[in-house]
Amino acid sequence: MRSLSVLAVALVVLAAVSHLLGTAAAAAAATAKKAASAASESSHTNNWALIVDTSLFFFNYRHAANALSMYRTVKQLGIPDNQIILMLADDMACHKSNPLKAQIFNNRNRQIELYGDTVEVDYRGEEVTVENFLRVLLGRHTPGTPASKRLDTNEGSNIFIYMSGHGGDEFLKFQDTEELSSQDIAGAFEQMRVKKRFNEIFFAVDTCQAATMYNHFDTPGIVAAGSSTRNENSYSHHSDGHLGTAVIDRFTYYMLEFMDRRGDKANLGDLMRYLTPQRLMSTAAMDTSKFSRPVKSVALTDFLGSVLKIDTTVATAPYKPLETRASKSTDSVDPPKTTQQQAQQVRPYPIYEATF
Amino acid sequence: MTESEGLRRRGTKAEEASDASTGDDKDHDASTSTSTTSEGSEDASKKMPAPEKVERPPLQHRIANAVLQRAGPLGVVLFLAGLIWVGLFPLVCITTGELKCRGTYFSENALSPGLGDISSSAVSTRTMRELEDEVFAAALKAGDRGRTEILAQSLESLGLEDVHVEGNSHVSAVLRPHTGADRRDAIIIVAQGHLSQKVDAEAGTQGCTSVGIVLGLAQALVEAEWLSKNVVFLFARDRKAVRAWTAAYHQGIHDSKSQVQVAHAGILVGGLVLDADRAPSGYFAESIDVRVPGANGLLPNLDLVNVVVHLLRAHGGSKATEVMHFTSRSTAYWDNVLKDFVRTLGSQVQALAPGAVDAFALNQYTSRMGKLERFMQSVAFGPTGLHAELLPFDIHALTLSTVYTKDPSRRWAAPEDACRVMRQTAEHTIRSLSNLEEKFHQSYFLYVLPDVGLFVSIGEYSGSLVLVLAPLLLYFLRSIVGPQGREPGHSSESALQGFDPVSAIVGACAVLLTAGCFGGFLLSNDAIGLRGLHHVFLTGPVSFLFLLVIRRRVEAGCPGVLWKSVKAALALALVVAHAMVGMVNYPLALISACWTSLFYAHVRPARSLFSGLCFFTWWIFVSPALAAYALPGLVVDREAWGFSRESSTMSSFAENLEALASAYAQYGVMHVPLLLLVHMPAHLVSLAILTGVLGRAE
Repeated sequence: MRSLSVLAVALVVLAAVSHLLGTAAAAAAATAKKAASAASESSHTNNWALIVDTSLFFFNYRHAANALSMYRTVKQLGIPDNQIILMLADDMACHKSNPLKAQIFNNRNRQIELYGDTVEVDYRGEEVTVENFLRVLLGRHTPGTPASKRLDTNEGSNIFIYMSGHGGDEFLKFQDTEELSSQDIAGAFEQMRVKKRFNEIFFAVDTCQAATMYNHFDTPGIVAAGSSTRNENSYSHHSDGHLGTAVIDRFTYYMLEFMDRRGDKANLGDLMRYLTPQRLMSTAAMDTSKFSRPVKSVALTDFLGSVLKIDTTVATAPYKPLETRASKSTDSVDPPKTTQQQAQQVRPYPIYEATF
Repeated sequence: MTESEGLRRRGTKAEEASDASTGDDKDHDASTSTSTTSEGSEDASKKMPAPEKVERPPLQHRIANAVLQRAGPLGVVLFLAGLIWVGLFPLVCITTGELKCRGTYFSENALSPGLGDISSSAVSTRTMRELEDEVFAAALKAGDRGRTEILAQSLESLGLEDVHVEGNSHVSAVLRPHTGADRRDAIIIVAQGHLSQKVDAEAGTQGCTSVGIVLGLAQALVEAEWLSKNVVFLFARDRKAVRAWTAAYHQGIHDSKSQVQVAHAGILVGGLVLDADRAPSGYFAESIDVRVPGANGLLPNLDLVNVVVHLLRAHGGSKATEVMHFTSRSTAYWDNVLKDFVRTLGSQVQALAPGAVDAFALNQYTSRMGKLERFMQSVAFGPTGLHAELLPFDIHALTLSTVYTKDPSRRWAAPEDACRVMRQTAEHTIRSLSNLEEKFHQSYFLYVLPDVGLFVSIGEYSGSLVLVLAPLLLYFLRSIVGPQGREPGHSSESALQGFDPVSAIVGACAVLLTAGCFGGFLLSNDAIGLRGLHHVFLTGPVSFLFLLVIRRRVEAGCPGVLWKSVKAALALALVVAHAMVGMVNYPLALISACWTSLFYAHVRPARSLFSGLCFFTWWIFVSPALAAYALPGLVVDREAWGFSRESSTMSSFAENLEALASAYAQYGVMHVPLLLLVHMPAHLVSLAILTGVLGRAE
């Protein structure tokens, strides 16, 4: 009997030990998973978008429609208008050849009018130049440039940069008069990194030989995608007979279709698998060599959506009521103050810095 | 002794003289140098003269010598190589190294051919026929000038603005697009013919005329929301009417010289001329002919040609169009000769090496070569349509013309369908031009077409012209350099033994004098229009006499080189003249060079009766008079040149000359100056050489 009781106690002890071990292992696994998850998650605190249509002339209607479609999507996904810079090189809506005045469509079914009242075009017409594009990226504006035309990003910003136009081997044509080279844009991104103007960048370009535009990227934190590789053309998706021109390009069309189907669950890896050569009639390419996270874990909303995280600064001083300021007016002679105390005097209440 | 031997011998004499002088210098140098040394060494130097250092000429000099020594046969080889190169145009592109003829690229993005909807799909051929019947019937009642007046009323009722009537010559009207368009540019549509009452009396019963097509087009375009440029409609009776209207359009608004009323609608960026007739019963539409070349080798931008061909095929199928489809008897003759030659060549190769020639490839090559030949002929002997009046004003335009046949095997469509296709093509072209906000810039206007969708650019074809001119160029180089002139140790004097500058100047003066006499005729307005140009041949004896007088003086100073120097000057003049013509009108320069290059490179004083007869026969073959006689059979639009349209046979020589003078007066065709200023003097000078007037062969 005694031996039985000893056995029972031993079993109980064994069970308890094994339970404890199991719990510890599970906890360790959970910790590791959490750590991995943390590594694959973006650490950004705000989102910005820079959307550029670089083409003149009505027969390039589709490039404006591409840009406006992207603009509409990122707005729908929550990026506020003041964090979107939209550049349209020509006024397709009111163009003399446009039979549907003041409207722009990206589909011949004309269900979605892209040029509604809420569109805010930040750079239009002759303002869309290589110089202005680089100024926006670098934040080097001429005096008097309004805030709506500035990309006021910081080191917590994830930026979605989308460009549509006519291009070639390592260049993108602006306005039918000048070109943005791949070296230009690579240099601008490097300067942005030095100036801590971004956390991560998703650079997407829809043009012929698009992948050559990021040939010279050497800045960490950038994932780049293009609609075609070297020596390949990019193609339009379909045209509208009434307008007499193509209305959207294939890369943009299927990118939008993918996001429409997948919604919040869409990630970059799936996107690239969706953009097949059968759909695009060209080879979509993505460069992740400068990007630290695996693309499968990069949600599209990390770039195209909005994050509203609130970061608080470390409150180094206790809350002091406004009376403190009143007490300062007294003539009492105070002992010499430390820098911390001086700061408290200037800012007598805790500061909450919110970034969007 | 042949000419080259003569040159060589003279060079050798000069060489000896040169060597002697060089040797003297060396002796002198040696004596000078040894004067400072001891006597013993002086004796030694006398006993053992220093071995003469023989320096081998550089490789390029040896190559140049080898080439110039064989200038005659090499020129013939290069001449044939040039012809073979032309024959290879439909197969390969030698300058780029591609084993295919290059395909045309046109800016589909900018022109978007066929992308937009058109309104005229709602306008049926019956509607167009009704529109023209209405005009024609009302005009019959109105009298002689009724058709233009009634047409003007119709245009006004359609909503067109600025309608102007110019007698029974032409009617013009402007369609201005909706508000919002900038209206700075315009597109012109010309309806050819059918303004005369007599023309339609014999009209057929099928299809409709260009008047009906353009009226239907105007009716459709009035409602077009997409139109962003003005459209000018011009109903012109003939070529003169188009010319008068175009000239008036481009004169200043306040220019009092202009007698023609026009409404200005902006810069004319492009246009189409529609040339359609009703087809008699039993006829079928064979194709729609795309007539491209204008006068003097002027061509519209290739983008426009490609757009029109693309649209014609889209609306009418692949058989709908022919680029330069000629039906004149002379053209068909040359076409058949060429095809027979190529087929015979192919069958011979097939017999020698069975399986070496693919039958399909041979047929394709034959077809392309035939089209290339037709196209080149049309460029060389244009104009080919009324659009030729627009091209000099930098208005890119071409003519669409219906071609009917009685042969059922060549049937493409019913005449009604041909009218529909022409109207739809015209409207789609207008839509493409309306969308185009820049000038035609993606393509070029110096090309020849072996087929639709293929082209040979100036970079390729200019090489063949240089090869065909190579005999003349080589003769000139050999004359002034001489094969021995590049040998080391010879003075520059010896290099010029085969060339006497004074003689060359005399020859050039003779050529210029003769050319000047003809040039004076060309510049004299009074002479043009006179029946016959016989009096111009007075200039021949004048220059002949001049050479005869000069000869005695020149031959006295430097015997035996006068004719060679004159021939060298002549060769250079011919090369320069053909190069200049080739820059503007390559096919004309090529035909002219093929015709004369070998003769002028080989002509020399006759040494025997047999050689004299041979050269004289050849001389007759390259006669400009013969060319003037054969020209009417080669030109595409006989009426435009002033030749009678009805008879395809040769007119009398005097009538031909008169027509040539008239064509020159009207269009400034360069065939006349080429014949009179280049070939006629060259021909006369060559006669002087041949008959020994300028010195006999050694």
